[in-house]
Amino acid sequence: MKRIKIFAQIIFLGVAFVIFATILPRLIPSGNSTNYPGVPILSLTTQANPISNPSVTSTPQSPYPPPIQFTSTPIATKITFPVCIFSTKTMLDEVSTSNLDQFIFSEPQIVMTTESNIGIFGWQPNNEGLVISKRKLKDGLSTIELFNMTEKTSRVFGEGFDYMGFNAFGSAAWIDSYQAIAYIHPAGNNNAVLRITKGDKQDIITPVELYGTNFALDNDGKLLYFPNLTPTQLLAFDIQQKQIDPAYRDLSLPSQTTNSYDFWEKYQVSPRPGEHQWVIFNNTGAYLVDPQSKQICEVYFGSSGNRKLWAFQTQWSPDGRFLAAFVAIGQPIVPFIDLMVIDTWSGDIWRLDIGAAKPMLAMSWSPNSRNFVVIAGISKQEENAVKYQEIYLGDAFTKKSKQMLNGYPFSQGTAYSGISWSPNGKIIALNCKKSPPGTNEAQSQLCLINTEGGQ
Amino acid sequence: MKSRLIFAVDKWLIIIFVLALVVQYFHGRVSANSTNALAFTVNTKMYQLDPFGGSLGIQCQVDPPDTHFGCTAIANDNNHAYPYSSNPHNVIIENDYLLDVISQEMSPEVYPQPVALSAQFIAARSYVNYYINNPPADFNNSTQFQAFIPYRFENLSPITFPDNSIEPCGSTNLNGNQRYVCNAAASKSYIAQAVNNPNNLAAKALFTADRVSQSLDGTFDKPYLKSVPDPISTTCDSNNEGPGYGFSQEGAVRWARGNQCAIDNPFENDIIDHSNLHRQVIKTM
Repeated sequence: MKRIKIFAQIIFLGVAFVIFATILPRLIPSGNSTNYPGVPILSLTTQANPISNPSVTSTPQSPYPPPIQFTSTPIATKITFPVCIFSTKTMLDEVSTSNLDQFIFSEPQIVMTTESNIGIFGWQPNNEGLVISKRKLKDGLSTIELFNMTEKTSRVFGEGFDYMGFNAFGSAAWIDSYQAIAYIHPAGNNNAVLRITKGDKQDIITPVELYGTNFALDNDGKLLYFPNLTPTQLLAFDIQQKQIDPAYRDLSLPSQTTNSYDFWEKYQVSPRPGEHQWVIFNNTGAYLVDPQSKQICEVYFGSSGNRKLWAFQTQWSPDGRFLAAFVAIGQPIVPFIDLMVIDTWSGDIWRLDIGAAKPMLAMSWSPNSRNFVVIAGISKQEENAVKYQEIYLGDAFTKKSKQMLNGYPFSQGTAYSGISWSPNGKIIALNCKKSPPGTNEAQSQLCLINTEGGQ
Repeated sequence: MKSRLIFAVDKWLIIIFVLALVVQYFHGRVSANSTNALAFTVNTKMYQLDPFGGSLGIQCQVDPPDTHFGCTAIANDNNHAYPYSSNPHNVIIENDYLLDVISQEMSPEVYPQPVALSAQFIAARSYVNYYINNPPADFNNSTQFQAFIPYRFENLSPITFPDNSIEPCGSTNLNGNQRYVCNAAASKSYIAQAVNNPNNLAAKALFTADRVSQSLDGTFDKPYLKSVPDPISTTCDSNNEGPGYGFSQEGAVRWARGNQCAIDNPFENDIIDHSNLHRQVIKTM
């Protein structure tokens, strides 16, 4: 009987030991910070502090080696070239009266609805067609299409990458001299080529792959882009001759990061209308280049918090007078995105002020080269804000702006479909999908806003 | 005497045994409900993001894996596309979610101050756990909450893929920036409301990019965020950026540096004086 009792006690002690061995290490902070959350080390803290003094719980020592001393370098830092000084082209009459109130915008008219995203790239000069993309749900690519304004139908021209937002600007365009669409097309192994198509399968494909996702149409009709293998050399592709013009290489640009997947590190080019000048920019700076003399100066947008502003995207007004740029500091996700405008005739540089700290996300100039529309996003100031975007009309002469279609619930993501003002100034194309309140989901709707006045 | 001792021992053993069972019972309940501890995973809906961190309203595609920014920090690269098998996805908080969040929200590439990074980590850990206990309709990877972009930790310069993918901070090949983040991660601390909170649930520990001179009081649902003076954030690069209440990121950096500038002025050695150029008129007529 006594042996049985001792045996029972041993069993009892063994069971108790196993239980405590299981529980105790989970109740007592071990000092080993590799314990996963879910283990109630922190649940045993006391509740002594008042509500106004939140308690910070225990802090075991780090098991990892101390960090090596590392000097970080902000992305955009130095001025590389002389800062551009824009001289006065003509004596300007001061314009003090804004024309914003002369404009009337109609309610957006829905002309196309898709289950996936629509991208808007630009118009044919005759206002008849609009180059768009539609994201395919299966393979991550987009169809490149021409939307006919008269028939309200769309015709597929090709299949390209599914680029959006700042990344998409300049990745598809109508080439009027060749009556074709140029767009970025996958070339395998993450590379891309420029493809020029009339939709008849007789496509022209550039012989050199691109570095980045953007190209531009120069004033002489050539397509400008940076090649994958030598990304500081700008190439000009002559569509008629189907060959690359060697004259435009070697501009002595600052070297850029190679093999980068970040679009903001890759040069983009924006030709100045009416002048043989280009603005070439990435997150190190923006440079005004004269390809003939190969002179370069830096377009300086200013700084914020000791960091140089750099441009995501630039757009010249149709007459080449104003240069608008979306600028930021750091790398995405950036703390702000402002719209800066440089008046190259007067030398003025100013920031569009819409009265709130909201990111500027997409814009398009009016053909009058004075007004522009811009889509503003949601401010970080607004925690859990209603996720709608807003449209503003700007006046570059008076530096004023005005919200248009106030109260229309443009969905989050509207801006990244792009926005484009027609060459005749009568229509603005954009995505106007209304999301149900409290959701992020957005289908796409191609919408047209009729504009009157202000021409 | 001997038998009474045995009885006494038995009695204590029984008491301890019963207590152990009780503790085990409640411990199991607590763990299962995650009400008394930090959670292990967070269910996150993943969206393509704009450069400002806003959702584009397009969910990251699982098959084929999405290569857009927001679904991955290394955009347009099929080899580093959206890494998860579902969307929404239960993302492991400590060894995945928070490493990417901190790398984005307060990158050591710009702010290499260990103390400030640790504070940011505590705030971020508390914030995500608050939302686990108070689930919103659409917890997601955009700056509507905390910016969470897969591969952001790996993308810290110079891009490095940890050799321990299960526990990245235990890797042997981390770069300096990643080590900063891992050291900040190590404390496992969080902020809890301390009154009427028997389970020490995490507080909604918000943070703001910067605030001049004095932070703001939290709004109605976060009365514990009290306005405090920040006398180091009065000049140089101080500005009002973000909601203005809670932890000031650049304020913390200034205190950590002992400097009224959160980062050094990269232009101070330039020949041209650019100090008056920003957002001001340049007249050259």
